[in-house]
Amino acid sequence: MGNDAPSFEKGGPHGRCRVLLVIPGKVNFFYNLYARWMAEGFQRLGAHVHLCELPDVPDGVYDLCIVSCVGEVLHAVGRDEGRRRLRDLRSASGVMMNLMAECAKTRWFRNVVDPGRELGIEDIVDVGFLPQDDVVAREGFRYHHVFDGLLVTQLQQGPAAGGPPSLADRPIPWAHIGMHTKGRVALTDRLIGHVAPNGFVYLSEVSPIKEKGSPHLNPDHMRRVLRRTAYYVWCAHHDHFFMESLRFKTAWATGCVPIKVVDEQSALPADLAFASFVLREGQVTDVLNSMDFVAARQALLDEYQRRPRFEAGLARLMDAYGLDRRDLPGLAVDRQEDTQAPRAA
Amino acid sequence: MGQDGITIAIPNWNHEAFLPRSIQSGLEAVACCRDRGIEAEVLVIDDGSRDGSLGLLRTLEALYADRGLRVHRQEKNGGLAAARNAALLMARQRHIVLMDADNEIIPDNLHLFHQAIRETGAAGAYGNLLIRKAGHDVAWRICSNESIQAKIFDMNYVDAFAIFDRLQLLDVGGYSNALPAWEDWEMWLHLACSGRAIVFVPLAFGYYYELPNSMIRSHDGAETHLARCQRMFNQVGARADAPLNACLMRYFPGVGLL
Repeated sequence: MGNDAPSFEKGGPHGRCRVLLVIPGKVNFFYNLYARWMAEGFQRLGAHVHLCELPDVPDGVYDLCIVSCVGEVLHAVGRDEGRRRLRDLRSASGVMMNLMAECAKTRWFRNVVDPGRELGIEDIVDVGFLPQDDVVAREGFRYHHVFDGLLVTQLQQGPAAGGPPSLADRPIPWAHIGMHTKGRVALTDRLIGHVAPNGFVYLSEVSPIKEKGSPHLNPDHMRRVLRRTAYYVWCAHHDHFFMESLRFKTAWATGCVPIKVVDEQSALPADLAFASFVLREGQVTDVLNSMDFVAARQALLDEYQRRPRFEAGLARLMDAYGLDRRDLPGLAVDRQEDTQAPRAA
Repeated sequence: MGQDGITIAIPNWNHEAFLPRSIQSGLEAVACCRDRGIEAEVLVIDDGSRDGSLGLLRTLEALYADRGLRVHRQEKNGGLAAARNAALLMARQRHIVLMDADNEIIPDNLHLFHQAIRETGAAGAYGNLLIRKAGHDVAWRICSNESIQAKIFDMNYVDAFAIFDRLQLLDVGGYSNALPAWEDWEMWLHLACSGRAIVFVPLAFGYYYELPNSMIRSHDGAETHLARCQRMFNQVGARADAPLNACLMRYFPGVGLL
């Protein structure tokens, strides 16, 4: 976390912190999702929040502007127009941050941060289970990690799938969704041969993810498939260890059990969040064949309950930048270790 | 016309070594379908093979006729398109799986593809094919893994190993002899340009084995035929802007259109 954030006259109407969230809109839905969750979190923390696509940003000044992946926003708007608008926005914002939800050791990270750096956006907010400050700070960015827990309202309302964990109405034994890679094909082959042949297999080629008209599944498609699925299985499309927290959250919301598969050589960090859902590739078929779905599902719900809320990370971010916020009871904002180890139930 | 079940058609030309695997998986698929009340059969069209295929096929037919195996011998080699067209005419069921003699079908999933093609009314339904190298037991690549999109006019990514509505295939004239080695691609484009629905089902359909000297690898003039295919279906490059019923059509039984 950096300590030289730009100074700016703080406070909007009624003294509330003004937060602007800029989303890509028609491309890469997961950056839209994260911005929407952030909007809800910041609102609960007392901020005056506006969320929109870049061309729709209203005139005004903002204490905090988070661009939900500069690279994707530029892709959605067009590079030249996007740059011009972001430069204007930069001068109207006290703090401007680039949101990332990617593994910092892959080439995708460059797509996130390089366009931001060109525009002078040196602050990065990284949403996930594991801080990546070692990589990002090395690049000279100011870094802030937000643990990708559930919002208070998500926990209160429970998963959209609702009801107690059950395999009833889940005829799809497993689903494997992602970009086509050699490792993913091999995993699919093992799942077909050793777990069940009738899993949902959606391994598409690399191409831009759009809301409509692309070969990729959109959030509604994912929900419909995963609400009929028992185990949501995946492995990374690269060689680095990374916890794809959005996939965990999607599993939580749709009533299935997330299974992240890693190779035999992967070194797993100590106190890894949701570690019981991470399996070595050599054990995945045996474990899936003997797994108690109801117990595993309950373990997922319990662990989300124990982990920090999404708002806690946002509150910590606001504190770090000296932005006024509302106190929310029970968030344990001051306990950095909460992002690493579960609190007692 | 035939009943509402499935004929698994296997054209064969000198693939004696691979017939036991393809026919066994086909017969297992027949059994799985029959268990679910779907009538099914395996029909091998031997296209004038010169290796030991015929003797093997006659033996297998004698052993497994009651499990649904039929063999038809074409004395003169007529090529893949002609063999497939013969299968279209000889099949007893409404739906037909076209399977190369070195392919392997996943028996338990065939009834789901049958359900998908019936529920969508599509001319063809296909799913993921796991590609294995010869001698390897784990796949390393996948094909037939995306829905029909405009890019199919530039290159083919959907194999012929799929299930078809035999009526619709006959209605569009069957397979063309005009493009040796590119019959699969020509048929997908022909169906798409004829306004037929083609559905991608995100399930595994079967295994495709990469073999040395396969037809597509050993065929002379493939590049010429590729250009000809593009000339036939997308000469002015406008297809990407033209509506196609097949475009981005995805369906999963029990979930619906995606």
